[in-house]
Order: sequence, then C-alpha cells, then structure tokens
Amino acid sequence: MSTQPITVLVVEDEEIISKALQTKLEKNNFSIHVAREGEAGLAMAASAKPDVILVDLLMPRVSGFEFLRRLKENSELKSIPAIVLTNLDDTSYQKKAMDLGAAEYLVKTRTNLDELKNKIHEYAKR
Amino acid sequence: MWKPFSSSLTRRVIFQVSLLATIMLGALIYVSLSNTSASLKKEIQLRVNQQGEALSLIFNNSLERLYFDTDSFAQRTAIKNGSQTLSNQPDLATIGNLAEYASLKEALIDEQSARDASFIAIVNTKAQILAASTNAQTGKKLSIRGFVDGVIKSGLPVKSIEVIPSAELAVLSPELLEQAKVTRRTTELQKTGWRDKKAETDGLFMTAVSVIKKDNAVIGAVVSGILMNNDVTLLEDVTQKSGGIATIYLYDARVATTQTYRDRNESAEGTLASEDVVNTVYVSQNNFSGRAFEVNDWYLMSYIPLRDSNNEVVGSIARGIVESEIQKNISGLQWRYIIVGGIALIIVFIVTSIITRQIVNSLKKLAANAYRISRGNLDIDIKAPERDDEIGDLTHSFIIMKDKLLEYYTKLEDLVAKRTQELRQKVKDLERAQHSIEREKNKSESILANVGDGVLALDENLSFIACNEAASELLGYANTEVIGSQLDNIIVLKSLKLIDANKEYSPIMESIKTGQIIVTGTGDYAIINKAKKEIPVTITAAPLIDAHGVIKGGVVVLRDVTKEQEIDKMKSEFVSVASHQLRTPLSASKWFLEMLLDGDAGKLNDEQHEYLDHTYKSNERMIALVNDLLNVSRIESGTIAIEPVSSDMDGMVKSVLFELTPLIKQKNIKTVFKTLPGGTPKIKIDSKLIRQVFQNLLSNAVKYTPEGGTTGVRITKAGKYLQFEIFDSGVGIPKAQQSKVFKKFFRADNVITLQTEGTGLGLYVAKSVVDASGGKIWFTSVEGQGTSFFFTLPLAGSKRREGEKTLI
Repeated sequence: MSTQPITVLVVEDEEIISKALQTKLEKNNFSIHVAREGEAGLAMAASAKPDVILVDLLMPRVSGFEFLRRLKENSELKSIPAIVLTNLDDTSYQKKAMDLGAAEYLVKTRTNLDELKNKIHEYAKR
Repeated sequence: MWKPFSSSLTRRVIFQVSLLATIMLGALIYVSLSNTSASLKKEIQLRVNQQGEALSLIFNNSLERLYFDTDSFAQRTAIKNGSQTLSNQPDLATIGNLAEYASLKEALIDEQSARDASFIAIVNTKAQILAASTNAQTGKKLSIRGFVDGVIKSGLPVKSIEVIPSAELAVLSPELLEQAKVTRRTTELQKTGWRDKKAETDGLFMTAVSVIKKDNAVIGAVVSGILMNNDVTLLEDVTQKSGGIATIYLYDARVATTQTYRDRNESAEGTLASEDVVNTVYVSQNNFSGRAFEVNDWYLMSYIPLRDSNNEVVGSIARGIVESEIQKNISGLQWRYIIVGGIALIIVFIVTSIITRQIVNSLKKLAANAYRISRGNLDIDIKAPERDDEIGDLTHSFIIMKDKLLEYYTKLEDLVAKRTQELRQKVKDLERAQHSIEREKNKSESILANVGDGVLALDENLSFIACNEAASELLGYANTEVIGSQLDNIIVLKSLKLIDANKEYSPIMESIKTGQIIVTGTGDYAIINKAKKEIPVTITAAPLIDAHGVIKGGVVVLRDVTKEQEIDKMKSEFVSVASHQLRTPLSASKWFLEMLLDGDAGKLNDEQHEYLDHTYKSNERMIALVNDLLNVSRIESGTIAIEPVSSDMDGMVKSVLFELTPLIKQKNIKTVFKTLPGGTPKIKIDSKLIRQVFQNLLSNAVKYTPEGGTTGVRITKAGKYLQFEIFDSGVGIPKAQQSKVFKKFFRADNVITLQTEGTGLGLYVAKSVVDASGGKIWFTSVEGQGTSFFFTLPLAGSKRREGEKTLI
C-alpha cells in the first residue's frame, strides 16, 4: 500500500453532506479537501492537486457545471477525474455533466458510501 | 233564429209532388194535344176531300141531268121537224121570219127555264145557229172550240165541261157574255197570275150536245149549257149544308166561290189559285189535297180538276175548311185538357197535402221530442206509436234511441265528472310541472350563463345550437358566429399527449359517435382559438340522447386550464425543489446510518444494530417516496422524454428478476418466465422507462405473493403488439377497488394490512409510461387467488418524444 494517501477534493455547499463524506473517507485513509463552491473548488484543485474530485452540481456562485467546464479547460487539472455527486437526477443534467467531462454521475440517495469509496479507489488508480 | 218545428218539409213535399204532377200532366196534355191536332187535321182533310168528291158528284149529276134533258129534247118530234125545216132553208139570215122558227124558239125558251140552263140552241150540221133560247145571231157558227163539230160528226150525244170563248158567247147571247164576266183581282200575296187579262170573259159551262136525227140522218144538234161563272147557287147549297168553302175555277181563276175576303164582305171571285195548287192541278193535272193559301188564309183544301172533251183541264172545283177554324177546335180541346189537368192537379195537391201532413205531423212530434232531447231534456215521455207503418217503426226506434241515450247520458255524465276531475288534477300537475320547468329553465339558463366553463351544444349534424358567454370568450368567436357553425370550424383541438396515436381522434366526435361521456385530463388537449392562441383545456363531451335513446348531438364543456396548468407547473416545480431539498438530509442520514451500521463509530450491540437498521430502511423508503413523487411530478408536467432504442426485452425481464432474487429467495417464491418461441424480438422502446414498469410490476408481484407462491412473466404476440403478462398467486385486488388501481397513491386495503412497503405510485407510473410508449395496461385479479397485469408495446416501437426529464 502506498504511503501517499489518496487525495479527494469535495466540492459541496451542504456542510452535512461534506461532513458525512469527509468522515467516511478519512476513516478510510483518504486525504480530504473540502470546498464550499466552485470557485474555491477550482482554487483548491489547483493547489492540492487531488487524485479524484467529488463535485455537487447545485452550488452558490460557481455551479458544478461551471466548475467542470473550467476544470476541463485547465490543462493542468483536466486529467483529474471528477465524479458528480448530486441530487439532480434528470437525464438532461446527467447528459450535460457527462458532456462537460464528468467521469461519473452519481445520485446521492442512490449511492452507498462503500460504493463511493470503491469508485474513488477505481479512479485514483488510473 | 232556429225554428224547431218548421213546416218546410210539408211545403217542400207538396211543392215537389205538385211540380212533378204539373210536369207529367203538361207532358200528357202536350202529347195528346199534338196527337189529337195532327189526327184532327188529317180527319178534316179527309172530310174536305170527301166534300170535294161530293161537290164533284153534284156537278156530275147536274151535267148528267143536262145531258139527259138535252138528249130527250133532241128526240122530240116537234124539234126534229122544226129543225129540219129551218136547216133546209137556203138563206139562214131569213129563217127568223118563219113560223117554225118562232115555235122552235118558244120551245127552246120553255126548255131553258124548265131546265134552269143558261142557254139551249139548235144548230145545223155545220154548227150554225138555227135557233136559240137566247138572242143569238142566227146563222153564226157555235163551235165551242170544235166540240160541237166533233159531236155532229160522231153522231153521239156528249156531255162535257167546256170553255166558251167570249166571241162565241157574244154570238150566243150578249147577256150571257155579260153574266160570265169576272173581274180579275189581286190578293195581297198574289199580284199576278199566269194570264194577265183584266177580265175573264170566257165562260165555263156544263155543256151537253145531242144530235137531231131525222130518218137516220143527222140534220143538226141541240146544244145546251149552264154557265158556271158567277153562279154560287150550287156552291152555297153545299156550304150551307156542310160548311167550309166551295169554289169553281176557270183555269186558275176563281169564277164562282163562296169564299169572301176575310175582313170585308166581298166575294173572292176574280182572284187566282195559289202556286202550289196551280202546279198540282193545272201543270201536273192531279187532284190537290192539303194545305193551301186561299186568298188570305190558310185552308185545308181539296181540288178536283175539271176536264173538257179533249181531256184538257180547263178548271177545277174546290172545297176547303179554313185552318183557323180547326185551330179553334183544337184550342177548345186544349182548354178542356187544361181544365181537366188543373182539376187533377188540385186533387193531387189536396191528396199530397193530406198525406204529407199526416206524415209530417208524426215527424213533427218526433222532431219536437228530438229537439227536447237535443236541449238535453231526456226525461220526456214519448207515447208509444199507434201506427203500424214506417212512421210507427221510426217512433218506436226513437223511443229506444231516447232510452239508450238517457242511459248513455247518465253514464257519460259520470264519466265526464270523473274525467273532469282527472283533467283538473292533470292541469294542476301540468301547471306545477310547468312552473318547475320554468324554474328549472331559468335556473339552467342562469347557470349556463354564469358558469365559468365554456358550454356548447351541438346537433346531430355537428353544428352548434348553443354557446354560453364563457365558451364564446374562450373560443374568441361571438355567440352568433358559433351558432349554426360546424364543429370543426369553431373548435380546433391540439393534442398535448406524449404519444399521439391518432391525430384524427376527437373526444367530442367520439362521444357523439359512441354515446359515452368522455372527460379529458389536464394537459391532454389545447384549443387554438380565433386569435390562433393556444389555450390548454379539459374537455367534457357528453352525448344528447333523446327519449328513444337516439343520439341527437352533444354537449361540450371546455374548461380553460391555463391557470391549473400554471399551478400544476408551480406544484411540479415545488415538488421538484422540495424533493431536492429533501434529498440532502436524506442522503446525509443514509450515509451516517451506513457508517453507524458499518461500525465506523464503534461496535454496536444487536439491539442498537436492529434499531439503526429500521431507521436505515425507513430512510430508504423515504428516499423512494421522494423519487416517486418526483416522477409523478414529471409525468404530470408532461415533459418526460421518450428515447426509443432497440431493446432486448428478454434480457430486461431477466435482469429485473435477478434484482429481485434476494426477496424471491427469502419468500421461497417460484418464478416463471415464458418468452416467445425463438426469443422475443428486439423492439425500439425507452428501455429505462420500460424497465421501471417491469420493476414496479414485478416487485409488486413478489411483494404481494405469500411465501411458497408463484410469480412470473409471460410474453405473447397480439397483433401488432407484444403483450407482457406479469402474474402472481398473491392476495389479489379487492373487486371494489379495482377501478382505482392506476390512480395516484392507490394502495389496496388488503395490502396495507400486510404492512408491506409501497408508496402507491408504482402502478400510476407504470401506466403513465406504457401510455406514453404507445401501449396499453390492464389487469385481471381475483382476491385471494392472484393478479395478472398485462401491458402491450407496439412491435413497431414507441415514438420519439423530446423532453427535459426522465424518470428516476
């Protein structure tokens, strides 16, 4: 096992959600960075260079879509897999997000934390 | 004023009988009169003819006598001797001086007066006069147109009617010439004759000539004659005896007649016979018998021609009766007939009156009674008939009729009273009904006018017959534009349904066609109004059905659901936002519970684990509920996208069954999957949505099937559709609730008690998806035995539909 822990950037405006994610992921030896909205997320992505990004879509100021767009525009950051973790489950959103380069589209209520953990592992290995 | 007992019948009968009798009597009189007058005329004519014959006989007698007398006179010796002496004298001019001449002349004069002749003369063999009873010129010839010569030559005595020309008459006797003169006269009608001499100076004579013989030698002849001109003695004898007229003609001129001019007492001598007579008597030389115009009147005449010794007609004798006299006889007859006829008429009148009065009196009695009856007085006592005739029968029948009438009348009165009572009741009912109808009508009208929804009515030809204010406002057409217009011109529908299977389908037409009431849902249809504005509506179409069950049109209620749709949209948005908001705490709860259950926050004892497990399941159910709510919200907002892709149905069914394996195994349920032989063909459908249908139906099937039961899927082909049957041997759906199965939040009573999970939205979503995919969904169920849900999908695949959302 690599001594370097997997770094995960969580871009999520809801504190309770980020708290749950942080708790679960840190317990599983992930290194977690949390940003409250897209702008901050982008800055943090640039500084922390995370292995995987979990991003919500509905956020104040810069939304998840804007975040994805700008992330993918950034040549340094665009390779980082960004998993959309949201409560929006319309296909139109899903399509849009995938078009913007999202690695995965997960709906929060249908996602187990164990499942999520495995997904992050999967993407971090790539 | 109406006279109840008029006597017009009597008058009429008497009048008619009398008229008839008059006509018949008149006809009888006419016929017998005309017969009588004809036969009378015939008879009179015959009589006239006989009279003519008689007159002719009398003339012949006179002539005969003259002949005999003349002959015997010629046989006398004295005459013979005297004649011989005189004829032997050489100079006849001197014989007057002889004594023989004087005695002979005396004998001639005696003989003339004894025989009532006009003249008697003795001639010698040369027909020269020797001596005469008249002052004749001795020695002059008395030829009488050769008559005398002929006699002397033959030696036989002859009698004849002869004309003695005036010249010979003058020789014979100047007196006789004077006596024979007849002045020619014209009548009004006959101005000229066939001879135009002014006076007839010839004489018509009855003549007899007898030769005087001495010693068998003819020495001379006795010539005697009776002048007929102007001699009416014989004629008057005849007419005095047997009436009429008698005439002697010399040729066509009357030379002796009893006829006078009608109006002046003057003899008609000198006038001429009429043309008819001349033609018959003198031209054709026949007897004339018949009607002739004599001088100045019509007569029935009989003419008999008079012939001389040469058989030449020289005149005629005629008898006749004036026609007016006959007419007089006839008119006398006429009067007699008329008097008899009049008497007969009076008798007929009296008899008829008596008979009619007898009949009519009886009838009057009947009429009086009938009148009383007609006035409603049935309580009259009619005497039984005394007569045994038709009137008696009539009276008898009348009495029976009256009794019957009384009977019926009594019955009728009862009936009328009863009916009147009923009628009053009916009128009252009708009035009440009318009031209530009016009330209802007013109510209906004001409801219709004030109702917020557009209400329209169509007749059977699909033209509008009613339209309220709201409808005309909604459609943008004035009420007057709508009434009478055709359905298609006013209501233009646009289907808003996800899948529009039949563009031509109109709920209004369908309702009128099938007689069913059709109610469309919100979001199904919009109308395009006059201003081309699209207005979402719900349509309630109901048929107008008459009393015989025949569809006579329809009623359409259009409700503008713009507001409702806006509200729906807002509601959907609210649900959507709320659902999203709910999901955040739900997912947080889910995750923390997961961590607790995983023992991330320390090891849990069994009890704690159990409680947390309950909590986790409740949370999951809440999540599912929110998802379903979201789905419903999406379905209702009508914005679901259909993205048909070629799908492996068998695979889909297997995978859904696989998902349910844990529960199936837990309940030890037997699963069955029957596909089509050779596998189900791939069809283009929205696999995500259809998969949800299978999920909902199969999870229900498994959920509601008790342990050890059976469930499964059976795929069949039905025409252009694939049919899927999802069956189970579960609790079934109670009959009373079967109609609500596809409604939102439906949960059968019997499954609620099972305490199984369920939101009551699964079947609603399934139906929405199947409908949107161009299929149908239904079920059969027997409570306690099981349920089979069926749904179909078109083999041709679903139609693509753009939309924003899909179901979760």
